[in-house]
Amino acid sequence: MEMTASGHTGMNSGRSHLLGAASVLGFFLVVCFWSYAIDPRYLYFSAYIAFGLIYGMSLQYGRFCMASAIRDLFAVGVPRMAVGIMIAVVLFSLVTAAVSLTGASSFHPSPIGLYSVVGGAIFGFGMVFTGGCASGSLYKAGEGSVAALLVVAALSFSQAVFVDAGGPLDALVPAAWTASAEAKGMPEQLTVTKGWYDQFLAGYIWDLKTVRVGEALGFSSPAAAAFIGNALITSILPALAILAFIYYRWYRKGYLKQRKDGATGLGVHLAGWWRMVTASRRTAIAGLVLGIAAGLQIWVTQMLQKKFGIGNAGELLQGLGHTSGLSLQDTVFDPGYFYVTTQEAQGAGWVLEQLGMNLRDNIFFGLENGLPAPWFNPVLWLSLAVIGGSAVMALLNHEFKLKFPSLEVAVWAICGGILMGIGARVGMGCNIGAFFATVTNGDPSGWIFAAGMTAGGWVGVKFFNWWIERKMAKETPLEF
Amino acid sequence: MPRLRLIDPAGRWLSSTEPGHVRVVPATATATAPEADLHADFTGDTCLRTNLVTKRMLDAAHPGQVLEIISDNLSSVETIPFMLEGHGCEHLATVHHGNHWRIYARKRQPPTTPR
Repeated sequence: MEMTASGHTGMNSGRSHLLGAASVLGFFLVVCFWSYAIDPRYLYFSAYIAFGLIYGMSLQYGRFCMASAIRDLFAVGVPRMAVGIMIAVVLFSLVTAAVSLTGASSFHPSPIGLYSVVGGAIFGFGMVFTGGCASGSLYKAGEGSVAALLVVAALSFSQAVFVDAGGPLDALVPAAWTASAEAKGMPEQLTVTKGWYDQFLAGYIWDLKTVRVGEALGFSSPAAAAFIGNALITSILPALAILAFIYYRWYRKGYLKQRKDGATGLGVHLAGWWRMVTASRRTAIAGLVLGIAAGLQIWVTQMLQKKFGIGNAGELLQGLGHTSGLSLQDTVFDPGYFYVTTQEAQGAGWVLEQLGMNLRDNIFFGLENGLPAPWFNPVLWLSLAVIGGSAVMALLNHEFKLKFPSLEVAVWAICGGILMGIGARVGMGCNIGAFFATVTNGDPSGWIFAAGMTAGGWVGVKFFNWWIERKMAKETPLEF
Repeated sequence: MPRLRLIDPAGRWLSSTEPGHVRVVPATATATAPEADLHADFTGDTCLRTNLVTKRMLDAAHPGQVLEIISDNLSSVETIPFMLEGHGCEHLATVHHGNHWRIYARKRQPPTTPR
């Protein structure tokens, strides 16, 4: 039997939560309407805000987190979150395939290479200690978790510093990378032969090939390329295979034991598999909403770009007279879909720039993404809206609580966040940008990142398990 | 009636902990919750720590005992009910009190072998 009773403490508490939710939502509505009143082109920013709110609400409702997926599977054998993520992957891939047929897709595949495994492993290891992935930390910050806010801050600043770091790190750069970077003929404002990350990008990443399965398989029909190549082969079949493996490895035994009728056979296993997929209503609904919304955002962004005659938000900012934060190519980071980490790096980079650091001489900020002020960064507004959407949902459900971490938890949050930031840059994205957005758009590099993330997460769980055992042996024996 | 309190030697900034060994105190029945034999308070803890220690607690519990797990971590609150069957426990209730949750589980009796 399961029942959930809510012991809300009176009408005043309920009213204050409602007021809090209304205030948060009101803030974003004011920003959207006020900016539109200044110039209709700010509608482009409002679109990012709107989808950020939807993501935040869905993530909070479903407690949706890839760190949970890996951690709960390996630590306690619960597949709930992993199942939810696969549902979102399947749906996002179908919506994206449909959107791509309208000619509206801003997706750029990532290169295929071992860097994905390494970056994923570092990211996965780090996120076990923080208690949340990149998007998970944003929504948990919206629930009032100061530890999650520390994670976001740590991963933001670690990225900003890492992409500009040189000195002793340059000694770790293979000579082939340096030579290749030098041969690229980069603008003289950039010091591409100094700085580990510049040489990693220009001397290694840019030499790798990208693949989109739909195109690579040579389908003559765009619909076949989109639905069969990109959605079915790259997303749906691997997701179903993973769900089958999860069922076999973690769910089957318990399910058959519960049945008590001793029945076996394909029908029984299919029923068990379906029960596993639908076990958590919250997670399934969140996966559904996220998958559909993420696909729709691509379409909406493309429609707005056509409306305003732009290919990148940098052109919009130029037209609005805000040119100080643009890259050398007059661009800013503008993926047009759900993304986390790069915009946070930009936010931290802007802060460091105000403190006197020169961060424009590297490829990441100087050439590709720019350093716009946070209020002129559309994708950073998405991240803020994720936090806001989560706060709204948490307040409406009386789940918001300002939680300050213990010293130990704070240290884990910062150290894990730093690792996540480094992993995200090495892996060219995080659980959203390097996995969720890629595999659902026919880019198989996302599965390579996911493999690394899973391996890193597994090691992280083993380490954390050992740490807990050690602490419990010292602190408190279990006694009954 | 035994009570398990998780002790953090590093100390928490805001919530208080009791130093020393595990204390044994009677369970307190509430109007909407089952009477519990074992309590674990994970307020302020991360999801992984909460889940791992809960797992040990579930395995260590004796058949028939009712466990009360207190947490303010929503991810753990969502995950723990799914853990219970795998550790021979049944989920009795999840009660939301203010800004924390109390999860109640009972350790099942092992199946008896017919003579």
